[in-house]
Amino acid sequence: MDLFSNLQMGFSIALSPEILMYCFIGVTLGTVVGILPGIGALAAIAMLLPMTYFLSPAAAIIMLAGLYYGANYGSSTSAILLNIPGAPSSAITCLDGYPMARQGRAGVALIMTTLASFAGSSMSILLVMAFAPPLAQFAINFGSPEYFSVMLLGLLASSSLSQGSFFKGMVMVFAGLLLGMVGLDVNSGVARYTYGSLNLQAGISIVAIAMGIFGLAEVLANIGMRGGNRISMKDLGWRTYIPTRKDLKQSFFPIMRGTAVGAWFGLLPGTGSAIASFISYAVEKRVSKTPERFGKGAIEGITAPEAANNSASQAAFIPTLTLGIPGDVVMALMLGALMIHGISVGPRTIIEHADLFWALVASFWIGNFMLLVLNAPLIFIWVRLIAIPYQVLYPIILALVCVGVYSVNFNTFDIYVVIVAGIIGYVLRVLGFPAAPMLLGFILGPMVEENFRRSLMLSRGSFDIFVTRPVSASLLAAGLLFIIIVAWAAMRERQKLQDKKPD
Amino acid sequence: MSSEQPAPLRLLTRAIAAIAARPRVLASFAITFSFGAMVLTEALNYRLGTLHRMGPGYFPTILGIGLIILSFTLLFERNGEDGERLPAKFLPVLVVPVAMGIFAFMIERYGVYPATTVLVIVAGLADQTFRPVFLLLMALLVPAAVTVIFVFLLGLPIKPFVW
Repeated sequence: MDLFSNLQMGFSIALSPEILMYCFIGVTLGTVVGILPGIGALAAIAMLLPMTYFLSPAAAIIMLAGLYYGANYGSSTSAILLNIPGAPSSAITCLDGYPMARQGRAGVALIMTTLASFAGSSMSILLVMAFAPPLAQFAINFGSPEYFSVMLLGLLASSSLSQGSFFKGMVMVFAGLLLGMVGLDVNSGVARYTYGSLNLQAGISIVAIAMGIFGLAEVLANIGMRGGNRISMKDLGWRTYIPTRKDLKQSFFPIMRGTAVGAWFGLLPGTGSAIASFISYAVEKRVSKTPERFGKGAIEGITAPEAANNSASQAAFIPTLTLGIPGDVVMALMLGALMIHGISVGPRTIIEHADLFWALVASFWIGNFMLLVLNAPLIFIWVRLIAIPYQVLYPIILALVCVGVYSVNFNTFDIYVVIVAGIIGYVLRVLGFPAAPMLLGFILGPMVEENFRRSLMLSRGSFDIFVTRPVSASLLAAGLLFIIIVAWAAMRERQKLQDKKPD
Repeated sequence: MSSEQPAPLRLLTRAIAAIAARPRVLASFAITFSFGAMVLTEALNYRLGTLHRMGPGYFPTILGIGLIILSFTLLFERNGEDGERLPAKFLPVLVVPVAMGIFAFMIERYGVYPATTVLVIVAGLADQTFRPVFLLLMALLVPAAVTVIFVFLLGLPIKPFVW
């Protein structure tokens, strides 16, 4: 089947009224949680996950995906207006977005980030359409050594590129792998790390872990926090939303570069939109002829990162849907959602569930158009959402978390898991441990162990198998490269500090 | 005075001072090390097997040893004191888990509506700007919304009230 007939099939599913409605709910909810600081796409997806069990797989995945990329559109709003990022991927947007707002250019900033987001998304959807099927074709010949190596690469990338220290990231990866191991061992049937608890035999619920580490920990950290400086609504008349020709011209190439950076980090398993936006900001600052404008309201400083984080979140679907290896943490949850619907994702998914894949791709187009044409004019309403105080939000979030996690298995044990995970997540945040690598480790844990054991069984206990097969060897080499880059960057920073000392 | 202390004691005081100056580093080390040790001791109960045919204990043993090694690398980190500078607010960390615990206890015994009411009220106490009328309003509306969404719209087999 060629691209056009595939797309036609995808659109015929995605345009059915039911699916269209769930897509709309997804992107709208995504915008809302993106705008509201204190709930990110991840927590929202974790909360919504139980509700999607009652939908068809296509409706479920399309709604969750919409929530994910919709949040990327929304998260820049609070970064610009409040100097508080709605999601980590927009943290960098504060640097130039907030100064723009203070110069009375909030409207332009909001519109330009929406345009940049749309541009970034569109180009990455094209990438998904062009590259996912051939990549899946290529991956069909992957054996367990290749799977092990690509997962190792993902885990290394996520710990080395997450904010904060590499070693703390590694600790979290290990912890995640171990948490994923709790329960019955598939090969031997031995119950591991259950400490005699029957509830733990089936393993720890991914929803409970995600809600605890991301949802509850976030709530605990945010209670009692007061919002930042507020931009008066007077400054947001409709005229202020019209960008000048200069704004558009200054943003064009940054958006292109941001998209490219985003696509790369989206493709790379284990890294996500937050890293993409940080790197793309750094790139813009470096290539700019006037780097001194950055941090004072440079429009490139918001359009490039916003293009990058949207592009990354669309491109993240490529490794997720072709290899079954999540491009980032949200993708990990998405895989969980598909598994619950009985679809285990791998290279064959695109062929065996072609309808689902192409419906999802079609829904990307529909959803992004919805975000552009429905949400952009509604910015007036969205900005008012920011005025909702956290005191109102957090009891609602807690209630949704509790009832949501309970409704997965109708087991109160899962609520206790959320509580414990939330407290641990809070402590880890205070100590500077990044949470994302842990969830990735948790999801990949069983697969990593399984493929590691199977590889060594194939090779009769020799590690050669990982380096003698070309694909596996190059993946491992890429992982090694990451470690070298991280070490080099750390060394250079130390050098810089030492150079500064004599002054 | 301190110069008259014997060498080992001097070293010890210096070590204690160094640790006191880096509480986050020490806490990170202690947590990671004890987690690794716990993992490793439990892994010893499982059959190790060989590289060719790994038993259930092989992978956890590797991870446990890895964690213990990693815990020492944390001690030497330059940016080890980085972490979120959260305000010293212990109230939410104490109150919210308790509220959720009560919810977990109540949901099957009394139903989702009363459980959520108590959750909202108790969790609401975590925010110091405590306003009774506002909280009462939340305690009425949130459980109603939750019941409508989960019980009536999604049709989950959860009882709003248990008599």
